[in-house]
Amino acid sequence: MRRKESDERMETKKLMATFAILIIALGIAGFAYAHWEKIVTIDGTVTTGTLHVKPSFSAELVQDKDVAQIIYEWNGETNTLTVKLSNVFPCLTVKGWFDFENDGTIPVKLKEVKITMPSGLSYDYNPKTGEFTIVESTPIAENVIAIGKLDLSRWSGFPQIDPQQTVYVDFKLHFEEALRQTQEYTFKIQLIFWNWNEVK
Amino acid sequence: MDAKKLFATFAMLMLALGIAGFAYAHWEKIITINGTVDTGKLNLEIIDVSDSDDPTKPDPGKDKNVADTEIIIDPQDPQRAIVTITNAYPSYYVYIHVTIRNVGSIPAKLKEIKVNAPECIEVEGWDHIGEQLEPYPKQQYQSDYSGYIHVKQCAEQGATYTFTIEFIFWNWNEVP
Repeated sequence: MRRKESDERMETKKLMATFAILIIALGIAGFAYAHWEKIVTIDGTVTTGTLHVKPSFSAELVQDKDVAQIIYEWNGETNTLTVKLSNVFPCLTVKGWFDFENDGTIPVKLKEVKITMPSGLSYDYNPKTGEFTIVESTPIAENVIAIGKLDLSRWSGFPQIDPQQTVYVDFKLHFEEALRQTQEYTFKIQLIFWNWNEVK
Repeated sequence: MDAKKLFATFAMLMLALGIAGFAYAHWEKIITINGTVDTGKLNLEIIDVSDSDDPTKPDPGKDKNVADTEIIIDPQDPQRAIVTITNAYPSYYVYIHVTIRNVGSIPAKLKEIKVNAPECIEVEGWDHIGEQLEPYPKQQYQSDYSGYIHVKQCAEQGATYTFTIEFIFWNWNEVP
């Protein structure tokens, strides 16, 4: 008799558990179906511009005989302009200009100029006048081997260059009497441009 | 045997009478309730858009007009706005705004804003989580929602990035 009552209680519990599970499942299903949804979407595309400055160069040697030579070439892959002066002599004057074309789509601003001079040479530049001197240090003395001047008057909006704008830096370089014979001087000038808004 | 036949006949007779008796024994009156449930409609549309980059003026916070932002309502889908930013550069930013109207018949509530954007484009969407939009033309029938797009330093030149901002509305009574 007791066993029968126990079995009945067990059955009742099972039934209640099943019922509870069913209710919970229905509740979950009810929740899932209970909301309606509407999504308002903003789809965006951002296309970035390009930043690129292409340099060029033009120069002439002021001499009454065809003694010194100048050659230059442009490497588009490395964005490098290589200029070579050979058979240079004292009193030689080189005149010309660098031009920089912004062929990108973003305005650029000159952030920095890095000049790497050969060992023993140094330079001094006056940004107000544009004048510079190149000095060679020897064990005996410091000799000015060249003087020159940079003219930025044809760089409208210096130090910025707008897209499609070309600016010019005119220069004049004069080799002095202290220039030594049979020397090779290699130097590197890097002009570092950033998008204009990032340069203070 | 006769007794058995008699008994069977009697039983069948009783059964037949019982069935007939049941059929005739009740009276019936049916009251009918016919019901129709017309459900409402949850529906929202973008009715106006704008951005903070005036094409005739310098870019926001800048001194030059370089990049451009255009935002339109999708002519095929009024629940979608399309933002197109061109010639962007690091540090460029723009704010966009959409005005959303409840054009359905059920109050809607903004449940969530989901943003999906690449690493180098910062995108935010905000305003009015939990705000209720009553069906037009009741009061408070539309509201403005905003987004912010910022080109980060890691953005590549000449690249195209896409992003999505989703404003997810539910029927008002399901949003806490």
